[in-house]
Amino acid sequence: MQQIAIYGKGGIGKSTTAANLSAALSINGLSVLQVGCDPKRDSTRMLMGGKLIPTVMDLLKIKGERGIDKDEIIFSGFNGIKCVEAGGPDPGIGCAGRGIIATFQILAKLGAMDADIVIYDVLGDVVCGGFAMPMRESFAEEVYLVTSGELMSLYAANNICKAIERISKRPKNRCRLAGVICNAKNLYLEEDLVREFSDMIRSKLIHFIPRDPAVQVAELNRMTVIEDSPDSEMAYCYSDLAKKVLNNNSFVIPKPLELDALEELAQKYRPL
Amino acid sequence: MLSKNLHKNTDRCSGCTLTGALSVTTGVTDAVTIVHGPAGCAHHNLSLFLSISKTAKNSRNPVILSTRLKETDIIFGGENALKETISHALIYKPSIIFILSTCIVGITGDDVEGTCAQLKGVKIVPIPGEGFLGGGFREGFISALTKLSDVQNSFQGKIKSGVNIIGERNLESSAEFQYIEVERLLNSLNLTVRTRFIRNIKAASIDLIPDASLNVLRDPSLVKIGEYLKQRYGTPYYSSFPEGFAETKRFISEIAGILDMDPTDALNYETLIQEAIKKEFFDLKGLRISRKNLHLELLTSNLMDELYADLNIQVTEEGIPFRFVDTPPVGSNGVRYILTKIRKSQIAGL
Repeated sequence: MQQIAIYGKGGIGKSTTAANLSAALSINGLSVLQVGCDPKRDSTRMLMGGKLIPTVMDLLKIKGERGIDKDEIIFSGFNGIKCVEAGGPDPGIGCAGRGIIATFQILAKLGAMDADIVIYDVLGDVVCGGFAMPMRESFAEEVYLVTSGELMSLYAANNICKAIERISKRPKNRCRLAGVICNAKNLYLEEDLVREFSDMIRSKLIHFIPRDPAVQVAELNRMTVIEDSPDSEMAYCYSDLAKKVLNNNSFVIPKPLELDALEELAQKYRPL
Repeated sequence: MLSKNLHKNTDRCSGCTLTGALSVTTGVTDAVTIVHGPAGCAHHNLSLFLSISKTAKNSRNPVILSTRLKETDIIFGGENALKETISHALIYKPSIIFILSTCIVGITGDDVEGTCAQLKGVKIVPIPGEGFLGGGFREGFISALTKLSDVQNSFQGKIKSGVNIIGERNLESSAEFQYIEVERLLNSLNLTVRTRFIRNIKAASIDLIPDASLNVLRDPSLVKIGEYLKQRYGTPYYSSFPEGFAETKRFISEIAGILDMDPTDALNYETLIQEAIKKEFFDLKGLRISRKNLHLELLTSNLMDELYADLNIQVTEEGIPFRFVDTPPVGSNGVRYILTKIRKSQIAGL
């Protein structure tokens, strides 16, 4: 079983990337489980035909931990992909991080992490210990950062590197940075910029996803690109990403940048 | 010496913030205190009160309820659990309800003030009790007194008389003895105690706080509260209960000074009492007592210097064993109390 976690700035396209990656992997004949780790609960929506599925936290609230059955939290989506949403409290109340911890404990107890590949799609930033849960021992060993070439997005990715660096120093922890995925915003020399950033943090740019309206169209159709237009260039692009993820064997402890170095890098790629 | 007997480990001021706050709120006899947190936080404190009740003379079991937060309340917020517990508290028909926040609700950010503001029909006072914010017993104690000094109805500018006692140490077994002595000293100046803020009082008495002509603080750590009440109601304050003979006389003369009274009679009477005590314990002159089991506050107080000056009683490494783990006793009769204890130790050692 390969377990991967996807982190990155809020709104950068983690869930879109995760859902299309899951779809592409399942097309290759692999069983896939995607776990949305965000109270917004919309990670798996495009795999579920646009539906929001009941979350682990919904069930915990209604039935208590002991009353939860595997079938009530795992839903079969596109091409048999297993979909789980952690869920969490309403905005502005409670503790979402503790919700993620509770979700992982429930999933582990139920033996729900059962697939060839498990993908954890985690909320924008590692705001507290709860959102670092997927990186802890016995869960994801590979972390992919999704970023564009925008400074704020790189800044968030760099922050996540700090969490990976800290956690990877713990005894028995095998969580490593597996690579950077550039979800492009059509910026000047964007691929070069993100590649250089990846090198600087001692990782590599594993894949470049160009900006393409096919993704938005598929989302309007409540589907992934793989399902909506399987012969499109974008579908091939995500299939290519899937292959790279499967064959990747370069996992590192990242070296986060200081703010000055990050700004200097952004200045170097300033639009003309 | 075992480490558990070291003074630094027995400091009453370093305990749980919640215990400090509870030691105040449970002094209001017609109140219910709700501890907003996991069941253990309330249970731990209730156990403490029950064990103290076994030794204290005028004991009673205060109503302490817990919101009994569980993991789901932490994840989704504990505000519903709080509302339910407040509804349950109404069964006791309290005049006032205190809500003490524990560490965990401080971390998850429950809006306790907002939740309480929605509820009508009973006075509810939220009190911060989160120890991780950088406090212990003492901070919880002061936090509760500060909040309570704010709950009284608007001051009408009534004629002031009597004295309020501010911040009695309700968990000390000698708290009542300390009060009786201070009340005696005030009575000797023809002053009466108006409100004990807070010890064994009804919630309605809190409203009388502005009416006193003087506030006497238990100790100088409460000066902020003294200043606050002075600013708000114009009531002057005296900053501490007296320890030892000299401080007791100073207490009388300075309070008389604040209230523009003549202390001569009271001082003469106190001199007679103090001389009688010295005479009563003259046989202890020259005694050496061991410092091993004495409260740090006692060791560093003027009281021990006075015992040396008046009766040549010295604290040394190798004196007779003498155990006194309370804070220094109050007033002239406090000196008598400690001398009685020393005599008992001397007799036991013979």
